[in-house]
Amino acid sequence: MRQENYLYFALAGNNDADKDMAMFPASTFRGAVSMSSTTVEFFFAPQDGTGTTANGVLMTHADIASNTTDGSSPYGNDVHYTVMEKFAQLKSGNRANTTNFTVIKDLNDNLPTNEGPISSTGLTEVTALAITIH
Amino acid sequence: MALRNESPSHGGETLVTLIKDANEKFCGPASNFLGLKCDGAGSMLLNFEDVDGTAAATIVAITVTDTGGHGTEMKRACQAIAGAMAGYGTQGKFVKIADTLAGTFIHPDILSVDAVS
Repeated sequence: MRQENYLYFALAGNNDADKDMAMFPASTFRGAVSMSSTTVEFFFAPQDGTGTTANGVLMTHADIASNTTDGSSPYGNDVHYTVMEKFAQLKSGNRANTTNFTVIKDLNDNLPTNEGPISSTGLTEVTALAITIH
Repeated sequence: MALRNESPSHGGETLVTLIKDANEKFCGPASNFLGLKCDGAGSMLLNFEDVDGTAAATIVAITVTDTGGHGTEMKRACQAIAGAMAGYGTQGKFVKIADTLAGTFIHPDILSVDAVS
């Protein structure tokens, strides 16, 4: 049986206020939608158990039109796609003998070094988060 | 010698338990876990599908260490909870995440179970 992977998100707020941090089972992921040229929102089944209005994590990144260095996309650097692809890799990343705790993005600074997921800040492309939990 | 706080259950699924006191306890399959969130300094809410089948959640409030800043203790608690949900690699485990009554916790940064609602 494949074990569940748990996805961790944290704002740069020292985890001391409501929704500064959230962790979702990967199996509750519903999908991601580009919300603007600089944001993608990742939706999860609601933690309140109603199954209705999804929880969301809005991730901010560089403008898709601000960088055309890869030359492979009509949408500039296509960072929407990059963030989605890297998220997918992390979401599905757990294997036997690896951790099932996966940091998608932690914006807190001064994390301990060399402690695996505890030290991870996640996706480098993401510069800000907004967590919506109803 | 300290007793282990988990033992094999009779099914293939990990069951997790959180205990506040003699009157407030939760036990449920890890697959019913809906996620958790920070609820304030040193406070986390764990959400599980409601055990009575209604479209709501059973919410367990726990307190974690909040002294070092940077959210590190809460992150450590989350990693420990993720490991517990997986039954530490063994299917069918019965894992007690936190037991305030007995004073046993899976991680030193988990300090207490404050409410089961």
